Amino acid sequence: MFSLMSLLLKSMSTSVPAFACAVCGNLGEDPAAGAILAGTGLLSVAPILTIGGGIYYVYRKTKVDRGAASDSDADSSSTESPMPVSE
Amino acid sequence: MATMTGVARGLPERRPPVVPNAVIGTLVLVLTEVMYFCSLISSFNVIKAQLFGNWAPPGDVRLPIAATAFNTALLLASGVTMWLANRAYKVPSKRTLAQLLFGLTITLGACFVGFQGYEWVKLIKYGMTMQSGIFAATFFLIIGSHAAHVAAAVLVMAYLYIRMVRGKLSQGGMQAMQLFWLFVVAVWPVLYRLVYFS
Repeated sequence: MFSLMSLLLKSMSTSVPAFACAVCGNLGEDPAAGAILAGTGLLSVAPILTIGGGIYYVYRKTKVDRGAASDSDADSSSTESPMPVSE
Repeated sequence: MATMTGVARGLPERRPPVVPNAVIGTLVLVLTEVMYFCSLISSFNVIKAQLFGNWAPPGDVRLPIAATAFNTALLLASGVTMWLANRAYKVPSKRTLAQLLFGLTITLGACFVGFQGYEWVKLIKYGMTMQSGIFAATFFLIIGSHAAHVAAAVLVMAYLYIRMVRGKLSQGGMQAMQLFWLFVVAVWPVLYRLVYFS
């Protein structure tokens, strides 16, 4: 266990920065790298925002419609005739 | 002969949809369009960054920024009239006003496409075509994509206007058209800023 830990610590202290992709490594040097990263961010966020916006719109519409329906129910019950309707 | 309702037949009453089907369909369409324009914007930025310093129209051609600003104002105004038309269409006593505003929206949209086409003809006469460089190619692709959307929307609106006059246009249809038109209007200032001021 101790040797495993020491191996892990040693590997961490001797490692050099490794980048997952060439674009991230060139950030700041190559303007295209920044543009690619910005594009990746935009294309990642856009569908989430759009779908989220759509869901929120439906949620709000449902809430407003339910509120209007309960209001109209309350109005109709208050204007009902107190006399029972004979069958 | 009168048809029996679901309640009369012992079936549960069918509730009207919270959001009309036409609006849901248009929401999905707008989602795909958002991704389409986002990918165009991303590719534009990457191509521009790779050219780094050589990003300009071919020759002495200058993009018509001022004329397009006027055109932008027309399109934004059409967004406002469309919104007002949809509001008026919800009130039965304001149907005439809704028709007037909807007709104005179609006219403004058609003017936008017309002015855009006129500017394009001038640019092509000055020698800026799809083949005259990467700047011109991306310009015509992005602005052309938007213009195609506006032109298609104007045609659909003209069809819906006829239905509105005949009293056959549903609220859902009007809302769906408003959704798509407002998307087309909202995306334009982004493209204008991106392409014309790059």
